[in-house]
Amino acid sequence: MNEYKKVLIGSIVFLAMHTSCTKLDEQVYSDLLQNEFYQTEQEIIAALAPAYGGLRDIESLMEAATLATDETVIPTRGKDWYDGGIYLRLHEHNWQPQLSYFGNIWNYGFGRVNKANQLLFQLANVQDKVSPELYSRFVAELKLIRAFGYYELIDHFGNVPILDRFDVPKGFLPKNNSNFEEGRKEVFNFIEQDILDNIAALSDETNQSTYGRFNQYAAYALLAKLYLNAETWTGSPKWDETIDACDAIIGSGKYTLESNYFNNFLAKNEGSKENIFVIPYDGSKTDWQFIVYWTSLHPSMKAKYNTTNGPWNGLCALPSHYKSFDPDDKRRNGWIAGPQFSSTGAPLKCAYESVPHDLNLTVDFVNIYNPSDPATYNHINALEYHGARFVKYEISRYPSWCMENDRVIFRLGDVILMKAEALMRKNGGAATQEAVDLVNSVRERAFDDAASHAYTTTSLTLDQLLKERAWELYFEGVRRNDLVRFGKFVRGTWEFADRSAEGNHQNVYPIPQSAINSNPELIQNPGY
Amino acid sequence: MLIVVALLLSSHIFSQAESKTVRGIVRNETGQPISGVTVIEEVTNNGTNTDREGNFSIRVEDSNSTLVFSYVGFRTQRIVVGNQTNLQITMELGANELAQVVVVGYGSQKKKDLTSAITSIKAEDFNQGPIGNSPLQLIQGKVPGLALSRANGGDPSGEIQMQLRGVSTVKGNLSPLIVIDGIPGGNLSTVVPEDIESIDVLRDGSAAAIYGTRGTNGVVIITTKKGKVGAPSFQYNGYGYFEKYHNRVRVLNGDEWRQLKTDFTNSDNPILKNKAESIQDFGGNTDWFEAISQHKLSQVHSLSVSGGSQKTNYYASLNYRDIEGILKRSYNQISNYRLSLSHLVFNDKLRLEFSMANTIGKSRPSNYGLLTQALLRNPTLPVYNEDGSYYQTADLAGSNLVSQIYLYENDVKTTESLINTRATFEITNSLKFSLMGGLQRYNQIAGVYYYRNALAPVIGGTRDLNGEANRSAQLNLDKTLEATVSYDKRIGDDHQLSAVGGYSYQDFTAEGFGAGNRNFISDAFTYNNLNAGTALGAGLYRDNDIWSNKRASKLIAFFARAIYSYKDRYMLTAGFRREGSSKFGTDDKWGLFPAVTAGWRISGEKFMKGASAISELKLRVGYGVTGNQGIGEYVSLERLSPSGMMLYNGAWITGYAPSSNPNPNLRWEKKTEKNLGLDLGLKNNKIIINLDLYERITSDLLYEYVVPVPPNLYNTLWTNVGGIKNTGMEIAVTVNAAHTENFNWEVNFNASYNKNRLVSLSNDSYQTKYQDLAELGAPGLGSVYAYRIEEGQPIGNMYGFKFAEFTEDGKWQFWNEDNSKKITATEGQYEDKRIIGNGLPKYWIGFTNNFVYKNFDVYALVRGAFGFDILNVKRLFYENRKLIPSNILKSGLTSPVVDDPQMSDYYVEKGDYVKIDVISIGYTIPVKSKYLNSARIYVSGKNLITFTGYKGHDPELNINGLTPGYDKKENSGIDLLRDYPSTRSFSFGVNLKF
Repeated sequence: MNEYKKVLIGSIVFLAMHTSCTKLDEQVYSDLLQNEFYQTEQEIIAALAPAYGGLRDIESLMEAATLATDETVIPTRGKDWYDGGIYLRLHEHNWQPQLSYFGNIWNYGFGRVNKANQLLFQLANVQDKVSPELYSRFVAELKLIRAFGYYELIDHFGNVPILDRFDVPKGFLPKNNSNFEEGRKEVFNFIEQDILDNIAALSDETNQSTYGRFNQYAAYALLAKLYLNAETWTGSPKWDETIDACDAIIGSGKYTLESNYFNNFLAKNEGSKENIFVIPYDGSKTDWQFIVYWTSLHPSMKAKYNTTNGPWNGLCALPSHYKSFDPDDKRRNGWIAGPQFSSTGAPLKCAYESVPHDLNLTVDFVNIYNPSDPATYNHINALEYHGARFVKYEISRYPSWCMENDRVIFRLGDVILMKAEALMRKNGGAATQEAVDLVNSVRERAFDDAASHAYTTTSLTLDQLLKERAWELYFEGVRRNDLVRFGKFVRGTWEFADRSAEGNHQNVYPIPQSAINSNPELIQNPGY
Repeated sequence: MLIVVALLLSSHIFSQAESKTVRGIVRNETGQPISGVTVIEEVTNNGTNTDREGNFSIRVEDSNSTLVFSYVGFRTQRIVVGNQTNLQITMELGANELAQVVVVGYGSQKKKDLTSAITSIKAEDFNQGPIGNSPLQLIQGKVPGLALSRANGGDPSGEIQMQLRGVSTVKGNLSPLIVIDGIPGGNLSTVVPEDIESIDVLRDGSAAAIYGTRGTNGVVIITTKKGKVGAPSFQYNGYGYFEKYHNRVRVLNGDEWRQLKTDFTNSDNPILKNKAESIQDFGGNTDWFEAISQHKLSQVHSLSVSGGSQKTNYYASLNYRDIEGILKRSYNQISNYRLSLSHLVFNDKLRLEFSMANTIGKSRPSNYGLLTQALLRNPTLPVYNEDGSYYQTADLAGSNLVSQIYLYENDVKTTESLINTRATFEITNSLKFSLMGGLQRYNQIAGVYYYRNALAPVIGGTRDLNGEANRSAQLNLDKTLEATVSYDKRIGDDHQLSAVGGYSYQDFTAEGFGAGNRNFISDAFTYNNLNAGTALGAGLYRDNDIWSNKRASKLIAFFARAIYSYKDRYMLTAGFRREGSSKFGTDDKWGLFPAVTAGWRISGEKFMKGASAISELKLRVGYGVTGNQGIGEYVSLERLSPSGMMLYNGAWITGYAPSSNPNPNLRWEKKTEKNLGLDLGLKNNKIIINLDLYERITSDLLYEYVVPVPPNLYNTLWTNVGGIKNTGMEIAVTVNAAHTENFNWEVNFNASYNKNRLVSLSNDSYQTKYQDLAELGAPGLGSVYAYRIEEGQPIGNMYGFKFAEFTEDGKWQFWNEDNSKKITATEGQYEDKRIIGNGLPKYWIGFTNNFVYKNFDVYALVRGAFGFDILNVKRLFYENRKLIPSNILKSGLTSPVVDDPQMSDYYVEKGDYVKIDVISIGYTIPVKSKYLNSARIYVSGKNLITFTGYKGHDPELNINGLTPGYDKKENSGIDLLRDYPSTRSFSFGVNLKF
């Protein structure tokens, strides 16, 4: 019996020791706990990094800024690119709040806003871990990132909720103004104030330490963009303020126009003296967030550029956009058309419905291999070789999915054209000699014979300036904004769709259904 | 191990004796003698019957002989003769049914005493024929309310899908909890079907509540075979089988492809006419499905021995399975051994039990993507050039399929063990203390290699064409410690009390790492020398080229249950489990899961004495709460993880950001279930009917909810939101249709009905009316969703346009919102879409027949599911001539559609099916040998005939999750419709006992 007792007691003791361990705290191994982080300057810099890293997710916004305009189209090609009609709907201006692009843009804008708010909140608690200079610079940069997020939001949606803090009460749902115009003005003022308050705390260096980050000039460029659109968004023009902001950049002498337009878009475009603010990408260090070559090129062109990945054959120039270029305009070479060859000179072949033929990219949507074809080709029904393809950014042999060119957000060429526009608008829409000189200074590098292509005060009209902006800035995320400001976005007459029934409310996009579904406090934009 | 077995065996070798005559009398439970009872000596098959007074007399070989007593309506008994010469046998009523012992979790009960819905299936009632790897196939079609779907067809590495009583959770664990020999959360892969003694399924919440946070989807308790007292008894089971495609997808062959070119050239439709020249003829005629398929013999061998004395017994087995997949080179080879020992010490007061199972596996997983490519690839492309090399064209769908098999290595090696020790100490006759420790260890090492000349497809495929190798390793360790005290006492004649209480501690860790490299000078290394690749050294690093991770979680519980029965007529059970999971928020880790059930055995009442047709009648009610914690670890914590890179002062630095929106209030999902049951036995229990009605309401659903940004950082949050209600009915009927000396026929029928409704998707903080799911994807349907979950609607709704007609040139016409106007897809707005089907079966049936005539036995299983729709995604994409120059379904030739694919009810089909799943015919060879006790041979067919209106290849599909009935395994994001074909198999097998 003694033996039983020993066993029994032993078991009970063992169990009792064990039951003391009713703790259920989770042990982490390959994760970091937030309350153990932000201890060193290195950790704080690492925490700041995603605020900039998040800027890279801009592809969808960039697409939407061009696909809804007179620049580009993603046509349905055979079995591909129908995708529930999202590209057709953008092109036709036949959209509803459910269109996924709107959700993407909304998430991009508020993602940046929120990320900045979160870091501002967290950094305030660990101020003592970094030097005061570094801290004040970080705070200023985060506020500029927030302003950039709001700039995209006001541009696309107008009246959005303003949120300047992260520590909101549980269950808090942000609201937008019940009056659209008032709400948009508030957003405008919020962005303006954030930039003005923080510009001085930013670095004025233009070297490695500010590359890909907000320095004072990037902030002025954002401010200039905001002011240029002030009349559209608030009803009150701010042309002088626009000019001042542009002059802060131009007058600094820190940026010069590249003699070769395409230097700004090289695979290694870090050396550009013209680019003011870029979003850096790397072929192997960043995810596949910059993939326009994929979206645009024909799969057979993999052999032309020796890329690791085969492209998807989607985005191309609208014929009218391509043809609007002066044939001598070198900037048109950012679109590629005509017969295509591999890097070793062999003719490339079609791969889909025109498979036996050589790949000959046509600007127009016509059947070149069967001219008697009765079918009509357009954005709903395109052949695989239709449309000039986008090669403005140099295509290199990327080791993974992502392009390694740094994406240009603000550059001097745009700033100069903005200043010229503000001068003209101040002058009742007519060009001044200063405006003409500014525009010509940007335009001259596009032509071997620049003099014969130069504008005069009579030839440079606002309409012409809008065209010039397309030639200079195509696929740089500005086209929709430009067309809205020039009053040419709604009821646009470019090809493939009849948009004549469109209402003015479509100058802003609807607040995405996905946002309304998750936040019932949001008020949909008028007209939707 | 062998030494131990040998030692155990040795004690039995010297107990031989002379033959002798044994007499006796057989009575029923009330003491009445029974005439006509069959008495047979095992081994010799000598037999006799009892006379009018229940007496018998039989000559047996020796005192080790076993006598088998059987009589219709009573439980068969086996008695070892021993030294006795005059046997007093009491037969228990129950037609081997009601007297069965049923495992209820932390204890067992007689079936007649059960008060909740539990189905117990013993080895002799398991499904016959080739079982493959999943032991659950042993009970497919046999448990009412338990839907099992072979959604992965015949994949030798594929798992079987389980769903009990409908979809009651959306993001938590979907499958029932598996308990193997008392270890909750056991892996089915540690047990081979041949080693299983019984499978008990706790269907209702009142039964499952003792397992707390993991009982929501029911509990499947697997009990493995243990040693039996007596001389060593050996068993060998072996079978081999062949598989064939079952109702394969039919695409155009080479000749049809060439004909299509002519037809298109002459077509009036401009789209088709223009496509004519895209139809390239490479001169061959290749059946790509056949080109990548193999039809090899799979084989399974299992050998076991069991025996022992009153003090010590043992069971040991060896098992080898070589399962060949239908795709060339795919296989799954498993060796498993198991040993279980039991030993009594301290005057038989302490029982020590030990069992260990070890599984060594080696496999090459099937590449499901090849099956899609086989559908799409030009059928005129030859496989080989004349010189025997691969005919390569890297086209849009991919490279030569056969080369993709041979220029690619993928080896997965696993070892898995389950070790279980238990000490049970009998403190008094009615009080026992038991301590159990379990260890489950899973270890895997895998290697993948793409050869240097493997062609990447034109679209997609990041591969450099210079060899790409990857290795990965995984180690999962689950530890269990449980202590229980149980009390079991009959007080007087009327009171029976049993109680159990205990503590349970479980700890789960999983860790792994992997690495990859590219650009090899030679294929000779395959994946065995990663360092020889030059890509990483050259800085061509890709995300996840090197990775490692580790995670852990814990479950701690206290539980108790008492079962009281009065006069064997009134039964009451009450219990609870208080359980904590480390996965939930700091203040919400613990949950309480109570259960109470009651039973009234009406047939025991005096007033039922006259109703002689009714031999058993019992009413059961139950109420139980269970939980679900089947989410990932750490979701309640504020964590940071690497989040992209930033160019900082000219160098790329890694950023850290919150991993997710933290939810410190995350808590367990709760399900309350009410069960009402009736058990009816007729004609001496020759007919047994079990009927159950249930209502299960899940609240605080664990869900990755879409939340607004801002104020949240990300747009999803793991939280408790909403609820689901399931109501249903289950019936099981067992009929012992005939039982004579020569002919025995048993019929089992079960059916279930389930109705499901998503009650809400909102809570105090968040409201959502609906959410769209299952993006159809490329080609052509990116951002188009096939399913919608919506408040007030059942789960599994398909969502899209309502088809009206086609225009003359094959363009879609749909109905608008109020069906007043026909519209094109582009005219169609969001409001014009609607619910167009539901993929969740409402009715399930299973029907088994077991005949034994003399030495022949026949087993047949028929099962089916009804009341659901399938979205035929293959038709949606590939029954469309606009998809040329991809190959298309043959039915595409006659389909009117020549337009972009659209999500509409045109492709929603009725999924109802009935399958003659298994037919097995066996013959027991009469043997009289000293070395062989019995021998049986059989042939068997599986997945034989399917009756269905569904046009796709098999209506047995995904039943779990939020998108049931989606005939598309996974949306890879590129363009593949991946699924493993359903196969039909024919087998031949032998069972030997000696």
